[in-house]
Amino acid sequence: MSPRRNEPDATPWEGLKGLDKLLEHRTRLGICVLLSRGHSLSFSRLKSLLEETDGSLGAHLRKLEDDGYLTVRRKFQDRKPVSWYALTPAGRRALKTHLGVLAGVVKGSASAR
Amino acid sequence: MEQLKQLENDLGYVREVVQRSEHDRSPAGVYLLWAAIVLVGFALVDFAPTRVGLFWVVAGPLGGLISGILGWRHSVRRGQVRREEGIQWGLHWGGMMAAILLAVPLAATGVIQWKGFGNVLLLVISLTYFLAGVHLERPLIWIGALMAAGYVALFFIPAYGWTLVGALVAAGLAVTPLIGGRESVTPAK
Repeated sequence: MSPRRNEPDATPWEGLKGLDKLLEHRTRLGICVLLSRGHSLSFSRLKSLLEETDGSLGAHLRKLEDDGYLTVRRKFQDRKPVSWYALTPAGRRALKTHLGVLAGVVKGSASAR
Repeated sequence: MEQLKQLENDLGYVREVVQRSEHDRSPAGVYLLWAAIVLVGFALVDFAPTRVGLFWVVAGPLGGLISGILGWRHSVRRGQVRREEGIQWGLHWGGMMAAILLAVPLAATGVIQWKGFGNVLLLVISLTYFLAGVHLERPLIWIGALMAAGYVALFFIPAYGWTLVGALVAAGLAVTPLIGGRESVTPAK
C-alpha cells in the first residue's frame, strides 16, 4: 500500500491536502466506513447500501483492493459465488488518518466561520 | 470553499449509508420460536408444574442455540456479517442464563420458596428483554414491559395466571416481526 497523502498544513483549507486521495471519493469512503465497523459485507449488500451500479462499485472495490485497503473472499452460497469484503489493518489505518484530517478540517472551518 | 461544501455533502452521504446498514431486526423465525417456547413453558406452570424446570433447562439453551443459528443464517443471506454482534447477543442472553442458574440455590436452600421462584425469574427475564430492547433491538423493550406487566398481574389473577401471561407474551412476540416493517433480504452475491 502506498499512502497517497501530503503533510497536513497549518490552515484548515490547506489541511484538505492531507486527505487520502483514494478515500476522497465518497463511495470509497462509504465502503471503508461500513467495513470499519467490524462487518464483512457481500458485494450485493454494499451495492444496495451505497446505491451503486455493479460496474461502478466493482471499479471502486478493485481500486481499494489493489492498494491493499481491503481483502476479498469468494465463497459459494446456495451454489452461487458470493464475494465478501473486509477491511485490512492498512485500510483501517488509512481510514483513521483520513477521518482525523477531516475532523481537523471541519473543526478548523467551524472556528473560522 | 466549494471543496468544503463537497466534503460536507460526502459526509452526509456516508452518514446515511451507515444508518441504512444499521436498520435490521432478528429474523421472524426467532420471534416465533420464542413465542412457542414461552407459550408452552408458561402454561406448564399451571398444568404440569413438576415439569417446568426440566422444560426450561432443555428449551432455554436449545432455543438460544437455534436462535443463534437462525440469526447467523439471516446475516449471511443479507450479506452483512458482524462477529461482534453475535458475541453481544451471546453475552446478553448468556448472562441472563447464568443469573438464573445462580438464583437456583436461593430456592434450593430455602432462602426463598419455590412457589415464588418463577415470579422472580419472570422479573429477571423481563428486565433482560427490556435491556435487550435498549441496547440491541428496540422492539424487545415492549416485550420486556409486557412481561413486567405480567409479573404484576400474577399477584391479582387467582387461577391460570401463568397461562394467560404466557399467551399474551407469546402473542406479543409473534406480532413483533409484523410491526414496523421488515427489511427485505436479497440473497447475497
